[in-house]
Amino acid sequence: MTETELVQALCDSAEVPEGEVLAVERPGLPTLLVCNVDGTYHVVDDLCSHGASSLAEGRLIGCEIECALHKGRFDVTNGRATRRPSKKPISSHACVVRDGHVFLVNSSEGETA
Amino acid sequence: MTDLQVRPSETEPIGPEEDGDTATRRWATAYPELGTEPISTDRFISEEFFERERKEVFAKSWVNVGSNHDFPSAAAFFVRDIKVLGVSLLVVRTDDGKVQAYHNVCSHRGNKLIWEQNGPCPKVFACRFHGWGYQATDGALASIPDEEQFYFSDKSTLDLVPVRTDTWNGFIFVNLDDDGTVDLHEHLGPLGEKLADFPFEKLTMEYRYDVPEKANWKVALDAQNEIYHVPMLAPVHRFLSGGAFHTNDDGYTRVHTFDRLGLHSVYTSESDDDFQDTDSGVANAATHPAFGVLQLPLETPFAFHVVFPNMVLAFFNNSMFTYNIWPEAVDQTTWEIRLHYPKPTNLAERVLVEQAKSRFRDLLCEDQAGHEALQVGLTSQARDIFVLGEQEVQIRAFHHNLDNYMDGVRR
Ligand code: FES
Ligand code: FES
Ligand SMILES: [Fe+2]
Repeated sequence: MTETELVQALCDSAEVPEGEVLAVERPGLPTLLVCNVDGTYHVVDDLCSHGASSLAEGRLIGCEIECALHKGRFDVTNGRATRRPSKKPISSHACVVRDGHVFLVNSSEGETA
Repeated sequence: MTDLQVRPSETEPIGPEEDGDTATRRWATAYPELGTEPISTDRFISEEFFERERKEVFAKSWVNVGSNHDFPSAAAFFVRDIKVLGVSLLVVRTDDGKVQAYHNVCSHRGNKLIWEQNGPCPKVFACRFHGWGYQATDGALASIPDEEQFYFSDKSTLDLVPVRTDTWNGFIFVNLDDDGTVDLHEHLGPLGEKLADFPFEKLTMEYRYDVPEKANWKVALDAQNEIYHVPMLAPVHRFLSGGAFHTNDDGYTRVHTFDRLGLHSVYTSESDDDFQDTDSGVANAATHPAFGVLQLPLETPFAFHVVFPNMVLAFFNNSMFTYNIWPEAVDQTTWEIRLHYPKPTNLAERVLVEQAKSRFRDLLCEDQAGHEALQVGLTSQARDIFVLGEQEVQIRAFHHNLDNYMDGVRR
């Protein structure tokens, strides 16, 4: 197993039920979106790469977050844009769940709980 | 009060910077005569403007009324009612292949002569009312039941009234202006030359939808005459082939080429040969078949020609779609859509055509909703102008041509 360094606690895992997302602000970080896809947590930037809208307003459909502004979509597991008009990916971040908290980790592989 | 002649101009228009990252003044620079000013709302809602279009455009211009496909057999006829001109036309193709349109009006008491949509060409067209008959070959009055009861000074004045008719590459055009001096060849100008050898005859499968819309005819035309909306308008639009409608890194489509061809114009979309679609996109792309070998001589996957005043001739992958956008009232239009495909060579291709057709129809349903919504906004007169961007140069060119045409510039 890769050595993972817990970088930052983002939220209680219970705050993000299955199929939901939560925007989290932490000093020194861009606003992040914690997403719960079927019990697995993923963290991506909250900012849509298309028109700079917050993705937290949108729906999570399977592993895709749909931007509320123009309905572009991103795969939250890897940040890829999956539907127009979004084209550029958004950053995705490795995370783990420890003791009921979702943590940002520095390992590029990440780990999921 | 409205001033239809004067294009509204606000403060000095600001446009994309020349040296900006993604923005250009490409079209504004290439076509300075089109300007960058806003466009008046008035031209979409004013009865007076509509009247001028009727008199100065539709009654003067060559107008496409169909194609050879509309004849059910070699020698045949079809009827075309043109509401904006208040006429019904009888378009006849005789044995010798000659196509001629007549007013579909009996010389006796003015009955609409032929009521059927189309049919094989009879020797004589007989009026239903009292049976007056006209020769199919030249529209001459050929028989009058109980003729002795009439008082004619000159029977030869009672032939069917012909309408100026000409054909181009299988498309049939008429011109209701008997005094017009521009022939069809001159009217089509560079567009006619560009597509003169296009193998339209390869596209033998045709589907037609006549869509009534509560919108001005130019609202429908303008909304089709741009691809800025493609990634945004609605779900089926988003799935339009990313190969044919490439979006740049910011997610925007771009006009790849735009040419003014006399009164007409053509634009193509930026395309992407290496486009890697998503899984759902791949599934959808399968519904726009290229039939293995591309048969049509296309330079780009998408090319959209506006044939002034109200026809569109567009190529999309290996298929074509044509529109005839018929004004009926200032806020009522029939959007006549025809989808043309090459003849499938096997059952699988036949199924693909069916899918492609259905998908395209669904796409255009999204557009229809858009057209009517645009009209609502325009009719409200909340704003008396609206703005056009670089990626809407095609719309600018059309309105420019329309204004010029109404001012007497006929080619
Ligand atoms: S801002 Fe998100 S899709 Fe446009
Ligand atoms: S954004 Fe184009 S009409 Fe509203
Ligand atoms: Fe559209």
